[in-house]
Amino acid sequence: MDTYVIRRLAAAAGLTVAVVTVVFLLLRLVPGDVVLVMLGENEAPPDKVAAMRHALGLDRPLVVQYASWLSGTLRGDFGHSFLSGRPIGTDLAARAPRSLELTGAALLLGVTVGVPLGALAARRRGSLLDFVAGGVAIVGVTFPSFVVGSVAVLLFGLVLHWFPATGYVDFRSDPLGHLRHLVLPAATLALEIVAITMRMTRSSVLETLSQDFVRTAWAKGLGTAAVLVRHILRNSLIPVVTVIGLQAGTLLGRIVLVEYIFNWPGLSTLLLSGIYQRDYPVVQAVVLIVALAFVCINLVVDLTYGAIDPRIRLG
Amino acid sequence: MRGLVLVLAIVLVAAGVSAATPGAADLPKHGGTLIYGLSTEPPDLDPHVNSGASSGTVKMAVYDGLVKYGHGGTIVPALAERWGLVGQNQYVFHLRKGVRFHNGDPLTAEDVKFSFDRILDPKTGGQLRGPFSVIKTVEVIDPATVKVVLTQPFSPFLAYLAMPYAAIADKKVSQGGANLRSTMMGTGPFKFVSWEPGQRIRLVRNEEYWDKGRPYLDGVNFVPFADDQTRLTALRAGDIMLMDFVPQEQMNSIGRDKSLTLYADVGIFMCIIFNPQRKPYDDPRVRQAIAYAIDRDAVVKTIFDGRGTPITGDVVPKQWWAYDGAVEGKYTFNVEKAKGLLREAGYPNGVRITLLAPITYSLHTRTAQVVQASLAKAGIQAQLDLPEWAVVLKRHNEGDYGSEVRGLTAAINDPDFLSEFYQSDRTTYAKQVGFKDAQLDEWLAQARLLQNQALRKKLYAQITGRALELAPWVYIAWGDQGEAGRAYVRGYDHFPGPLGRYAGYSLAETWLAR
Repeated sequence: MDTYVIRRLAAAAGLTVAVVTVVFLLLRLVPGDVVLVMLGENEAPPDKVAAMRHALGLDRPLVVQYASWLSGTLRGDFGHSFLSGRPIGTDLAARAPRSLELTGAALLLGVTVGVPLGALAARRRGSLLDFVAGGVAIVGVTFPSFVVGSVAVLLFGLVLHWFPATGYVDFRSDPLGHLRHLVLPAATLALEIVAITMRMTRSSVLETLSQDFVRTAWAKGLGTAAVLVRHILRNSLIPVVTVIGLQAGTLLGRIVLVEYIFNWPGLSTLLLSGIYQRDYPVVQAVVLIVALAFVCINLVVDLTYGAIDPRIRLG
Repeated sequence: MRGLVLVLAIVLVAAGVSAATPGAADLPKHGGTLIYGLSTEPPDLDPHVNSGASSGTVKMAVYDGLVKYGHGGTIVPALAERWGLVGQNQYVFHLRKGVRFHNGDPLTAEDVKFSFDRILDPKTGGQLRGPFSVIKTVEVIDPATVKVVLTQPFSPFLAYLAMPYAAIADKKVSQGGANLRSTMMGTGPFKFVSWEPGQRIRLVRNEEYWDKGRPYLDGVNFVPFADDQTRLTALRAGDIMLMDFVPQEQMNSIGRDKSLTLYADVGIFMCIIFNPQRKPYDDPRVRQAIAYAIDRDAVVKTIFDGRGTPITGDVVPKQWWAYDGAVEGKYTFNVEKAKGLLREAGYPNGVRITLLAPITYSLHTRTAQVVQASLAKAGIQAQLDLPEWAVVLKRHNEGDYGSEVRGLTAAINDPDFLSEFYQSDRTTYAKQVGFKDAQLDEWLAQARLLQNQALRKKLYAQITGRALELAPWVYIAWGDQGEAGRAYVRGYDHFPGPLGRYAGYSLAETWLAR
């Protein structure tokens, strides 16, 4: 462990604490009261409201609420939902893996399609393939996920019936059905990653192609595949890895809409209904999880970057 | 020759079979799991708390009350096999024999007493605590008989008992520490299996259901959706088989689709609630002016896509015994009359008002927009104020609003629901809103003491006449509300008028023709 790694870890921890603290405070500044939501359209006389606030611990000073929430969370206890009374940990345990799976599938799909496509497009610059790949990239970057998702639902779900339009089934009860439900949302999320990694790989490969060592490799009489994979791709992928890391971060934002469109029961709906109903502990827990994921991804990117290029560690 | 006979025989048999098929398909068939798309994930499963229509549907499938709504919205026996009225105010209920909760516990009068006491406990937040406060005692006569003594005659009592919020829960389970907000233990047609967060609430057939032969379905999976459009897409794609709350603007296109069935009827009405403590809403003439300045036809056309009726009188539905045509046509779009009333009230140059509506529900927001445009013609400048539902609730509770657009349905199949709007001590609406009229209070109290329907009808005509004159609420239009399903879903029934949201009771009779 050197100072660079320690500094990065400390910054990541600090960022997480800052995010959850700001969210904790912001939630309490937003107008709307969970007690009134719970009472519905019934009259809410002050004594009844006060009693319910007391029962939920909302009448304690903010600092005390914050401290007790933080200490509970550190012990792995996220508390109970105000509305359903269920332990939040159970809901998170059920939903977080679903969001994670969707993100992972999208990333995997995006990279396995994007990188080879970019390398081929660079190799056959100006060909029909290059042209088509460029078109895909433009669509992927310019069209927002909810447009791509809606079109995918319409085309592959409603018209062609290739895949279920919405929903989710458990992997253990129906593995094939689970994968069929995964395809459309994962592909929707992946399109932008395909576009960006493709573009990045293409320009990086083009740059590498003109390098002296590539000419040497050709001169040695190596086959096309060997030159492309062993020499060109290996040296072109450094910036691509960085871009993939950054994409993983933005995925966490885009996934909210995509889960919504495909009714994928991940963290998004939990977060949104938590916000609408002012179910504070639920929102806090989801934000904490998302913030942690975001910070971890950035940390990994930073550390790999430093490992690849030692000059960065000095900065 | 023999070949010809054989061919003829086959043709005849085939014709016979094909002719018989439609008849056979109309007979309920057992089996299959219904996948039901809900507009929101139930926030809780507490049978006595109203946490929205979607959770109500789930609760109706698992719990039974003493009575319930049957086809056409009539009150039919459920856990009470029969009942009688002793004197004017004592109901004796005889429980059905041999009914068991889903865990095998027998249903007894103790469970009824426990459930009613739970509803009356302020800590429960029970929906029926208001109307149930007329209960003096609940007495267990023997395990199969329970007597409910009221403090006074209360004619709409059975209508309240038929609501799902009067469900009977297992005393032993509840007192054993089970959390009724996250688990369920009833006697209903389906048993609760699991609640998989965001994914589904799974119910299976109750093999021991007291209504022999029912339910027809092996189970029901309730799948929650965050978005209306997604839910409709899921229905069209066949991912779900039935859905609640069809968006109004899609009803006509669903109605035309042969592969789908639309179950809809007038159910919701849009209205404006005033804060009579504030100027200028404290003056009935201003409220009347607003009532005259609303182009109700425009609301029906644009908001309900033509599937609705303007309300020019009061909100007692036409199909009810209490409907009285005399007040019909009281408020029709009349800009001159509105301007005149404003002048009389001392606003010759028009008034500025604010119109609060929840942005969370597009029906409300869009109605507010149409109303705003219409009011402007009479010199009423309405400023829209469109926060989220949670904020609307808070502002309403604190009296921090001038006028507010709401979409509501009547709670029960009885004109006593009007007391929610006009009786000053009713905690849903009237008391919250701060409206008080001694005459209406007296008449509403009288009306529920009467058992004679003709007399009640006369009294309700007086009540609606006076209420319309005072105009603490302005009614805009009835709109269709309902569910949609795949064409092979059969036996489902959307109850008429305001009872539409209790259609969950018909899941016991729903079956799949495929």
